[in-house]
Amino acid sequence: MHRGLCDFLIEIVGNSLEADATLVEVLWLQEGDTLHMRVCDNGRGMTQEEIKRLSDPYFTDGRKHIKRKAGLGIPFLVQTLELTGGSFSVESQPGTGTQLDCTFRLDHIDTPPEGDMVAALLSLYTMDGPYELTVLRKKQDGSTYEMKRSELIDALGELETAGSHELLKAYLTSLEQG
Amino acid sequence: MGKLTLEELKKLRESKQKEMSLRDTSDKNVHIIIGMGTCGIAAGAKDAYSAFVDELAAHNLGNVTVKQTGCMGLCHAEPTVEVIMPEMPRIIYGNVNAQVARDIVRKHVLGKILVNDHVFDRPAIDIVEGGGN
Repeated sequence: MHRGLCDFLIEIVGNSLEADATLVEVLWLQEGDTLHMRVCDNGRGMTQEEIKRLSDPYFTDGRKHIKRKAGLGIPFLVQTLELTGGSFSVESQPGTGTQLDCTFRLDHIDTPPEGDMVAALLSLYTMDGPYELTVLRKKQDGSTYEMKRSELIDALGELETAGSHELLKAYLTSLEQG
Repeated sequence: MGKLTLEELKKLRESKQKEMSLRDTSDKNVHIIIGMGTCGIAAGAKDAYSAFVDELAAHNLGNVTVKQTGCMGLCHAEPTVEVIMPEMPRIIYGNVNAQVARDIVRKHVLGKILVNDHVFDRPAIDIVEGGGN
């Protein structure tokens, strides 16, 4: 089980990139007692049969780990949502992409805390590969910001070295605290 | 701290690059790879990642490459981190929390000494290319 809600975001965006997405859009919106997460990608998508088995921990597409018959990412997410009164939906078309929506109930005592968003965003923007990622974030206080990976690469030159990660972390911290 | 703009971020990068160009660049060949599969995430891999970024910055090791990967096959020992650098064996460390991440930077990367209690073997056979066949 994940300790923070933002851990689920790392998980789902990781899934998008593993599905060969080159474009990922994230909404992370706090509205009162709810937090809405949307991850929309242009990856390879899923069939109806695959969608039906998404919350089965013994199902995986088998591409990543040969012989391994477990896929725990989405089952963890669905389990958390079921235990805390949240909601989950996914729409997908093979060859087109996937949109995953879920709503966390922040007023439920068993809902994990949001977690360290700076560390989560740092991870999201520095995954491997040439992908565009846009995050639109609305915080508890109503303030919003939007950030594109291509703009970060433009400002920092690259996102692979510790030097650029240090600056990215400082930038993300300023957005979170500002 | 107020909100930084992208323009300010760019200027920070430029001044950092000038500063780095004056230094030794032997850290350029150091690679730190953090397992960010479901098992790693659940065990706190992003905290280790964040600690690596801070510790590398504290020691002016800005040229080190830091990457993320999926599960390395050592789910029981997550978070796992692989370190590849000259003059040292290729090592996978396990149970890497923020403190261990700092130890890896100080001892392994800078001191060229293994962090013994956290050394693990190569990944499990089922994730090796070809499934171990």
